[in-house]
Amino acid sequence: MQGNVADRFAVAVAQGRGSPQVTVPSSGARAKSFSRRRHGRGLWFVAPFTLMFVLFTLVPLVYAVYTSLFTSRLVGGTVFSGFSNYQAILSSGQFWGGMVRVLIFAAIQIPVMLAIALFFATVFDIGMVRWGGFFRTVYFLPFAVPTVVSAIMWSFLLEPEFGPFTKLAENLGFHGANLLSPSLLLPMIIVIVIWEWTGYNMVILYTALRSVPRDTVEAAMVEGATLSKIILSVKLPMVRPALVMLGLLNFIGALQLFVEPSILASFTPNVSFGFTPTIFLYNTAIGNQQYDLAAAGAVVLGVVITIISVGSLMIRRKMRSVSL
Amino acid sequence: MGLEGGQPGLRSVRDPWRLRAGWPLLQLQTLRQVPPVGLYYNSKLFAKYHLALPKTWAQFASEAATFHKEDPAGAFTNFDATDIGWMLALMAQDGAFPFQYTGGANITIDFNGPKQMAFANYWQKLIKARLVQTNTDGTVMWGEMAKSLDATWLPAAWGPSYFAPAAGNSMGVWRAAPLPQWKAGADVQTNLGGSSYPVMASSKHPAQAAAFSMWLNATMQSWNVIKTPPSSLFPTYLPLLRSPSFKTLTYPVSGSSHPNVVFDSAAEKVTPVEWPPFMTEVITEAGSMFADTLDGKATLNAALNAFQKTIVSYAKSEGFKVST
Repeated sequence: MQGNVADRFAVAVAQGRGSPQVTVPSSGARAKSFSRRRHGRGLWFVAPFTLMFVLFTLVPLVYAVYTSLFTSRLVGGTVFSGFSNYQAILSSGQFWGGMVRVLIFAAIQIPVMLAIALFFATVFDIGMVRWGGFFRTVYFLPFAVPTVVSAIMWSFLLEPEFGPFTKLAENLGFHGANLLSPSLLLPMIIVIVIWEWTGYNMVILYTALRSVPRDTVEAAMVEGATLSKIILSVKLPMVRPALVMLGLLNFIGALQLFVEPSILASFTPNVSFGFTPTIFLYNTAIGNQQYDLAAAGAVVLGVVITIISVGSLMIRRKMRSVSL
Repeated sequence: MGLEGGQPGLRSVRDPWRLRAGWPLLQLQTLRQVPPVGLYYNSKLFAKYHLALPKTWAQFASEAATFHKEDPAGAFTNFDATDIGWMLALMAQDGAFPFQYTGGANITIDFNGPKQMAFANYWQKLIKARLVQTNTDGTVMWGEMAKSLDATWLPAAWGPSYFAPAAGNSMGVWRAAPLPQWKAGADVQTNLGGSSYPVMASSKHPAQAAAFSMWLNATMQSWNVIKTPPSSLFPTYLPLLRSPSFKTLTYPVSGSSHPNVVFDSAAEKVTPVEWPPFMTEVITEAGSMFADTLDGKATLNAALNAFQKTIVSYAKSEGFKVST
């Protein structure tokens, strides 16, 4: 029972994000009946997707791998260089320094954001506040603001000379405060990303909490469970799959952190060449004009993300089979 | 680039190195502006503290010390090494321009030779003694200037148009003067790159594009619009440069004074330098490699040493034969 509910949540979450990564474990009998049917007509149904997938995912992917095997020089032209670009990426302190930075970012930003999102989702779920729908919309709004726009807005808020938050810090006694200094830059990006994404995560968790069957909650109440007991021991375990899924999706997003630091770079010199892996790729391709080296870096980043995604999916599957 | 022997207008582009794949070959380009660098000083502060207009860099340093003694919160000027184009202009005036390049596969790169280290020593001494600030160029620096905390400014001729919106109470008090000299009595000038309007080989209407480019950058009709203050573009179009009406233009930040008299005379004395064909890389790397000089974590000398390594290894990876 619990497992089925959990699966339904996973599907809901996956559909909410438009992500095809999660497959629904369906019952054996149905699966078999599908496979017995003829495939001819089915091909037409998948053709549009397959065509788009090949054109806009597979071809660019293959082209990136192909490009990464060459070196184009200002003097001497383009030559096949085997894996030398990969060697350069694998031994690049800047690339891996950026990787470590986004891991630190993820380790702080994701738990804090999910905790806040879960808190508000619970508050709305138990109906403690009036105007719940209104506030849910308000909290969701930052997600509707394009990332570039909110990054620019925050940049002006944090700007070291005229930014109101800087003034506030000065009024609080921090003279010469620079919120975009090397040590404060990452914490500020964490704040910005939490602001942008908490509402979105909250809505997903709220939906998951609403989907907990009423009978289960009523049964717990009949048994004399307190509100906190219901929240912590009944509802929370049932939305755990949604939490894990959000954790994973946010983690993949964190590894690709780009917009916020690249906008902030116009306001502070402290966004270094390899501040995040994607910033590194951008500067390598656009600044240094080394497209082939950037292609190799993109492939390495893609492999890292794939390993983490597949790895965590496998762990989740294993955990689920144990819990069932 | 330089003033091309004083001849504005058409300049055909040599093809000294293989243009990267995908870069359209230029058909022609017209120069728009090549701005000399000058010294702007806050005339109110200079009068208040009886500061002398520095004719040499040695005098600049001693006036800086005087000013700092009178106003411990103030600094004589701002030095932002991450603005590498600007620093290269100052280095060129000191005979310490780090590149020698005349096309082809050979290039000399010297960011840490004796001349360059002497240049770094001079500024590092002023920075260390807090006679010079190290804010980022742009809003932060202009904020200090507006509050009369920076007594001088070393911009390209077009600088005032960017500063004007931030000038605040300092509006109108700034006066232009020639750059201080390294040798007393010398007249060595420098410029901050420049800009041009190219017509690409891929252009569908090259003749019309060329005609427009010519009209825009090399006719009085066009410049009568472009030169209008607060714009302070410094043209390469000689008929305008030599017209009395250009020399007597006034700008909001410099009150009733005539800065173009100073810049026009400087433009005549500039010794052109040859830029390397990979300035985008130099600019991209400099943004983060000199960031530590801004908050005092690294000396200019140390940053130049590290920068030398980075640029040399980049040039080599691009197939150049590098001499240092």
